[in-house]
Amino acid sequence: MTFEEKLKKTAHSDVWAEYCGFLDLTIREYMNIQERLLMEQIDLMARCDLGRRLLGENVPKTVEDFRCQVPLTSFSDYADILLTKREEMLPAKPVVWLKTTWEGGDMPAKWAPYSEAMLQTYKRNILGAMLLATSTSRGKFKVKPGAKVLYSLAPMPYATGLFPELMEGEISLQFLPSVREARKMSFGQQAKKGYRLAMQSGMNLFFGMSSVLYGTTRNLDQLSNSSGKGGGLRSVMGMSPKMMWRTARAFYRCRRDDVPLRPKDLFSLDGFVCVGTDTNIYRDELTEAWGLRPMELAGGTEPSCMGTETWSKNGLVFFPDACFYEFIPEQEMLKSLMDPSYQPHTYLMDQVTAGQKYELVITVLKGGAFMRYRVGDVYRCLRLKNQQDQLDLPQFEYVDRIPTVIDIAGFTRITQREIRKVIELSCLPVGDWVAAKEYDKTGHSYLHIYLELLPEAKQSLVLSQKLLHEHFSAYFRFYDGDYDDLKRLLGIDPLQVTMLPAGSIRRYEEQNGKILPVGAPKETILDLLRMCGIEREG
Amino acid sequence: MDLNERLFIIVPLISLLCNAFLFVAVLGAKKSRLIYAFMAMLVTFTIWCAGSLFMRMTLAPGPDFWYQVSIAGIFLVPVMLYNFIYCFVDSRGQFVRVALFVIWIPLTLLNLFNVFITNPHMVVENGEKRFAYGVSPLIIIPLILAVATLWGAWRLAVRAVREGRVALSSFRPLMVGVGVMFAGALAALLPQMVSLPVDTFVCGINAICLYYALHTKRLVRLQNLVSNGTSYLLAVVFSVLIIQVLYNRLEQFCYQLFPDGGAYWGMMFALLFSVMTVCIFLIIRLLMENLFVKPQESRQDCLRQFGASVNKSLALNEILLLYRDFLQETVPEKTARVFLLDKKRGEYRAAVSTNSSFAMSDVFTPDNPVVILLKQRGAGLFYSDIQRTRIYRSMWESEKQHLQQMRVNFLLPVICDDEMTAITVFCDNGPADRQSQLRTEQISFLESGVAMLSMALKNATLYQDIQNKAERDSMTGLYNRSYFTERLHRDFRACARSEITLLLISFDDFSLYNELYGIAEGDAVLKEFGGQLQALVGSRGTAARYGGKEFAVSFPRGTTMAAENCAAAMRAWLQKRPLAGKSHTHKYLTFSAGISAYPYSAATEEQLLSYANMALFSAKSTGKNKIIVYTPSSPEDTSVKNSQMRRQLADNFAATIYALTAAIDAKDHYTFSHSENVAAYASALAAAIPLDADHIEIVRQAGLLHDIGKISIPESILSKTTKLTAEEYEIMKQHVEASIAMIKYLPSLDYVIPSAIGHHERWDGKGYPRGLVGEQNPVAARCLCIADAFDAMTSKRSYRDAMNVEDALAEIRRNLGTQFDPKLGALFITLVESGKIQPQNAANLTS
Repeated sequence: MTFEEKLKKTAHSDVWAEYCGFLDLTIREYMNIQERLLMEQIDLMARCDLGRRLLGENVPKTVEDFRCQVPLTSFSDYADILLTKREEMLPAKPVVWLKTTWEGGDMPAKWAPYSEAMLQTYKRNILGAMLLATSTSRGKFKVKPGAKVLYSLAPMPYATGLFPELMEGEISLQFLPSVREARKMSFGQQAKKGYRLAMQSGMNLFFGMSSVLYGTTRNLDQLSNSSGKGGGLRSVMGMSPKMMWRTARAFYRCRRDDVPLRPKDLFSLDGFVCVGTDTNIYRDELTEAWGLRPMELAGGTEPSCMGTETWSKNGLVFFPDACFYEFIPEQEMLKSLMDPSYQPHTYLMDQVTAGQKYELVITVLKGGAFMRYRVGDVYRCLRLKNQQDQLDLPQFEYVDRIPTVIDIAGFTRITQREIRKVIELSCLPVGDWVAAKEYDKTGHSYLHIYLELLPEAKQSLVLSQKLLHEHFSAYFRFYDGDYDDLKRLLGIDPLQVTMLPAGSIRRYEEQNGKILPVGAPKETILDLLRMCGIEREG
Repeated sequence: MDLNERLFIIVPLISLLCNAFLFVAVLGAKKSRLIYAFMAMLVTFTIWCAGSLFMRMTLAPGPDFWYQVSIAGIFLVPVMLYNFIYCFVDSRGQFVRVALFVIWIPLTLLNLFNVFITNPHMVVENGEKRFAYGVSPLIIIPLILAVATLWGAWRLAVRAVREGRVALSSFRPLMVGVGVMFAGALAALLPQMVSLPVDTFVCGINAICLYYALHTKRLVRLQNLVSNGTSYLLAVVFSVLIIQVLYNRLEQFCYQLFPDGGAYWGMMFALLFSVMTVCIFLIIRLLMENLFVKPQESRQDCLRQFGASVNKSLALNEILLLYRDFLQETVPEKTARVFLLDKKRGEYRAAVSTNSSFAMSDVFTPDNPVVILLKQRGAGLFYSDIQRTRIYRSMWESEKQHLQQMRVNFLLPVICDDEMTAITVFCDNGPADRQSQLRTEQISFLESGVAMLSMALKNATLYQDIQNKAERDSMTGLYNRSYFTERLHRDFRACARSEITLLLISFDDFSLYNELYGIAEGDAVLKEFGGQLQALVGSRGTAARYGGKEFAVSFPRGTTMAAENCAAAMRAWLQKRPLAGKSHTHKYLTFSAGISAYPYSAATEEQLLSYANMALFSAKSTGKNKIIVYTPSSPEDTSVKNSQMRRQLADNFAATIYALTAAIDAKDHYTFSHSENVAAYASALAAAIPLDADHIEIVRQAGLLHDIGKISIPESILSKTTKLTAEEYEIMKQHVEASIAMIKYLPSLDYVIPSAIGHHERWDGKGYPRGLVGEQNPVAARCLCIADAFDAMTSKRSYRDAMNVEDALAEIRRNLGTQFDPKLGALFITLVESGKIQPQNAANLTS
């Protein structure tokens, strides 16, 4: 029975129980599922070459054995198998391969295999998330077959592109634009066309990247003006009567009250789903603009869809059957980033502490390839149970990537290696440098490079901050395609450069006895600037 | 009366009957507020139909009265429908409902005073009777209220579906019923339909739809209609209808037949009515019984029979087969498989199936979510429901695939005393698109069967456990020695006219293995070896753990080749086993095996056992790790064949034996010479039987060692010149066990134990230490008994003089059949008398 048939033929309570019943689990029941599925994964792994490589000679018999015997891994541990797509070495035959960037630049794209069972779980979980996105309380949801969905996320072979494909056989959703059309378009074209169609016929569900959505929300007037290429009348002619009425009413109210046009004036959404690293920053403004609090999903290419918020849109709950989760506390994470040979301790879902930040470690279940894999995401545990929502499971919020990876608007992930490469390519006389992720007044994140020039550069009078910025921007665009998209799609400048007096970074490091890392925390940067006598703006 | 007029009577009458019968059917149902709401609804419909019918029939007290009754029924329909939906969706909040009742009841009463519908009267146009009435402007009030009430009912239903309290499919019959009613009401406004009783017709249809909605909710059953009262009522109604339709023709027929019989027509009609009613009653009763009662009775019979059968039996397999037949009969459209709890592992293993093509190796592990869920719920579950549970997420893909391959539809646990002893799995057969879910009646019937099965299963399991404990070795799971002996006895008798082979296996140097690798490893080998042996023997024979390190297998109707092959296969397995084990160390372990067969070498059961033992001993004593088949041969033949071996044997052990006997000599000279004499007499007797050379050698060595235990007896007792006291005699008797205890420490000589231990047994079973009777005592031991007694009698002791040979022989003769084996005793006497046995103490006696 498809999801649509279930909606029509069975009681809504049954549909809820099937897809969102995991929210009724006790933490013990949750851990039982985790442990049982981990043992299945170990069993599958033990039979394949990749598994034997990771597990060693002795196959773990318990979860504790597993955590003791198997080291934490990163993509480089799988690169030789996954980049060449050696299916025969994997625990289960992949049905699709999804890709994502791997540190940008000249590194190849990361590929992640998805087995049939993983796809089934992904489908079930994403349908659960869809129910939750439209829900107002436990068991009350509003998903209608034929709903119009504006899907503003990257297409296949990126992980987000899997959603429309999986939905095809389950429920008749009207994607704006259609999946077939979207396949032939670039991400930018897809978003624009989607909005134009939504303006014409309305929409019920929205799935999008929070940074893109935020940009759109701020420029809705422009969007509505540009939606009809042939001018206002033509765009009005293409509208459905309902949208025509809504648009007319919205414009009238805006003019009458002298307020800008807000999306909530035009659209009445049933569900509103955001993904991306900066969702938390934009969330309140998006809620105000769209009249509905966006729901956040946790996921990625390697872990698939692994977490969702509930009806209260206040904290992520991880699906028990997508991955086996382990958490590295912040201090341990920092220690291991400083000393890569250090094996940090991990904690399980029933061992986390409220308020603590953790780096996530996953073992993809159901025949996935990744085992004790450091995804590079940091989450904060908000609470261990939620009395208000009657949840007995820990809830999390996405904090950011790990400090050594600077994620800009969810589009690109800049690492120390990439910055170094760009500086090298620029052939500019740059000495020590440090990079950090910062936010501008509008809430957009950007990369801030603090650098010192080499002594010989002092001779050149033209080497200004602006010149450095332009050089670096050019090389970033050349080196990292995703960086280029940032400027093109969001219209933001993701880079700032600040020159420091020569020797200040070394002096700071000597004074404090620590090396300044890439992605240095805000406080460290302030200390550094204070030491250099530079007043920071904003 | 024309057709139209009749229709106006027949249609309301049928509707009225429908409502009345449904009311009767509902009366038997378990009452709830929903049932009461339905009954109220039926009463409203009945009032409507009855009023309409009786008005047409102009029954007393008159059409006006019945008109008011009918209108009252119509007025009450919206509020009753609201009330029914309210209860159907299990709504909360009484305010609107009470308010509607408060409004509608006064409105209905007001209409009795023609407030809304005015001046109702009957008119006759063109010979056709019909009702005419006027409408007050106030009619708008009940009309608006009716729309509002029905809208309220619709809202309740929509909210219930949205909130998931009621599935949309549950509303389908209601929607059809109400839809038909509205269509009827609208149709009645059409001029073409004015002359048809559409309103009462749709009223009946609606009632049936509502009934169906309740029936699908399992709240009412049509079986409630089966009663004499209902049948009689139906019969009367049908009779009335038939007579009404046929009245004119009957009247004409009677008039033509009996033109003058007008006075009797009343009586004739009464008689006809009675006969017709009785006939129709009988037909209806028969139909109802066939429709409702017989299937139910047949099911109950089936259940009763099943209950009686399973309660009679304590054999688990028999009960399972009965249950299989029961399932086959009850649910022929599905394949049922029964998974039985394996208490040791906690797993549920496939035990029986209604389709033998299903794999019997299927297992539900104890942590399988399906098992956990069934234990938690304690009731049957559809697989589709399991898929909706949160615990389903923890299921392994292989487990899901397994269930999907099995095409599991429904799972029913068998629970007794909070323990789930079995799971019945119902699987779909045939094409997927033709599958149907089990019906509620089927499930409740199966649950009744399972309730009966659960107790029987528990009793049988307990019985089997006890039986297993008594018959089986707890470590290996094989039969134990005592059961094997019993079974061998049975098999031997059964194979008296054919053949039976016995294989004895004993691990070589097993104590050493235990010491080297630990007792746990030793136990593991025994366990695995037992399992492997059982698998290899299968149904061909009986495998048992015969001793600590010994296994025995009997092959009824099996030749020595079967036993040899079995032993060879086990040896091959044992050689491979340590390599396949957890540790990669090669732990060398071998076994020796002895085989004997009836009737080729052994003539009796005892010989079969004894010869197998001897073959085993022979294997042990000639280098171990051998499989030897006992072959009957004369001493001469054997001496040719095995002379070298025997000599080597004697050479190897002679020193040990003489060292031991010398030890006795130092303590008690008599015992030393006695042992030598007994060895000589017994081996001569064994040769005369004739036993083979190996056996004779064993007898000789046993003779030498049989009294070695006397070393442990105090010298004061050994050399006592007077009669032993009871206490001293008891101490003296212990020398047999002491001998065995000492020989046990000589593994190379342990084969003499069965012979040595039996030298004080008696033919009549009064001997010691084991009290063996007749041939239970090995032949070698029986030889020793006679030799020992003869030498004791003919020797001079500290407490008495020696007997002469004749007296000793006479004493033996006197005790034949009581103390001594009569045949062997007689043979011994013959041997002595013929001089083939020379008494060693004869010189002393004669001198």
